[in-house]
Amino acid sequence: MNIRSGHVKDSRLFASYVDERAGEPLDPRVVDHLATCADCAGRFQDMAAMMNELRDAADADADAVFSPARLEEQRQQILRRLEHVNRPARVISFPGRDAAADARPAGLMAPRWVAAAAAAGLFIGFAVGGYLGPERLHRARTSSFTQSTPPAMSVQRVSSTPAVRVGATQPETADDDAFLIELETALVRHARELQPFDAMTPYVSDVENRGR
Amino acid sequence: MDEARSLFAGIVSVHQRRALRIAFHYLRDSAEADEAVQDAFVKAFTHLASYRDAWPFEVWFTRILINGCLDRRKARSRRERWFVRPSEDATHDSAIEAARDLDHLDPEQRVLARERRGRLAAAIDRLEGRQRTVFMLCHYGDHTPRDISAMTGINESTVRVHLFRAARKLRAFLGGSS
Repeated sequence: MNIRSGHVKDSRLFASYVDERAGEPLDPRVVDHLATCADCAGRFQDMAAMMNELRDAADADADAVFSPARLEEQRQQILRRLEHVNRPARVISFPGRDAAADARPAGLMAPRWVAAAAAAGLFIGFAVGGYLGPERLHRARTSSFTQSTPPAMSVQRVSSTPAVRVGATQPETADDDAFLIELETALVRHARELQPFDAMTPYVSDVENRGR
Repeated sequence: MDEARSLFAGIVSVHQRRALRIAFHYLRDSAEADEAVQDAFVKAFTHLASYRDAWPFEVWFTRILINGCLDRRKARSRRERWFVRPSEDATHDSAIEAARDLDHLDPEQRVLARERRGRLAAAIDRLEGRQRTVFMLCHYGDHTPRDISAMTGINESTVRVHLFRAARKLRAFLGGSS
């Protein structure tokens, strides 16, 4: 406290406000001073009023969004999740699996299924790739662009990279995070020579900020 | 185990609202706050064995919650580096306005309320990371500087300094006299 100059510093006033809220004893010198100095008492009240107003408004917003019904719903959801804690995951048996198959050793079955799945994946990949092909893909993209763009606009320069919009409907999974972490790690550790290019490339947020 | 779950259900009821307030203002997204609080409770339950009663349960739990919120903020900023996202202020405001009964306010008052909320959110976002955490825990979580010191590992007197600086910045930004 800086009583010598005649008034209490803002930092001491704020500390007193925090102590008062925490239910801790206040500095008696500050209390005595506030009782006699109208200026400091007024500053203290202003400060307390502002802080209380901030807190009350924030609490009201949060409590309005999280109604008692939503709290109960969340509580039930937490309890459902707790029921699965420390319980092994259920394994769903493959349809049509008979008793004889159960009797066979799993070591023989697993490679067959893996091989079958890999073969099916390859087949589908080749089929779809062969059907679409890079030329067809390019044609499809060009035709959709020309359809959606009026002729008068065809001479205008088009943004080179379409922005990907992530909305509430698009799932933001942990896989995305893992991928982005991997991407950034690769940029930092394994591709130092690419960093200047990365620095020159504008990010979506930069472009947006510039546009504002 | 079932007994532990039912006891923990009581703990959830006690701490849930406060946890949601902190997470909601930290993340500014009701769905994400909901998930963060759920995750924190589940994590607290699975790590109950590591809880030491040197500090109240709430201090320990809030530490878990804040770490989760920080991870989510990091993940979000990582995503926003690469993807365009709808304005979070818009979703935050619309969630609040949809939930709050603001029918008694005229359109001008609603706009003013929204502007004030936006300015406050922007002011809080401008705070340095530790100041923001300390301020939120104290003013939205109703925690004492001593508790915040235990949660964050920051010295108690440093917590008080962060609190004061945060309040001064907010006051200046919101047009206070300080």
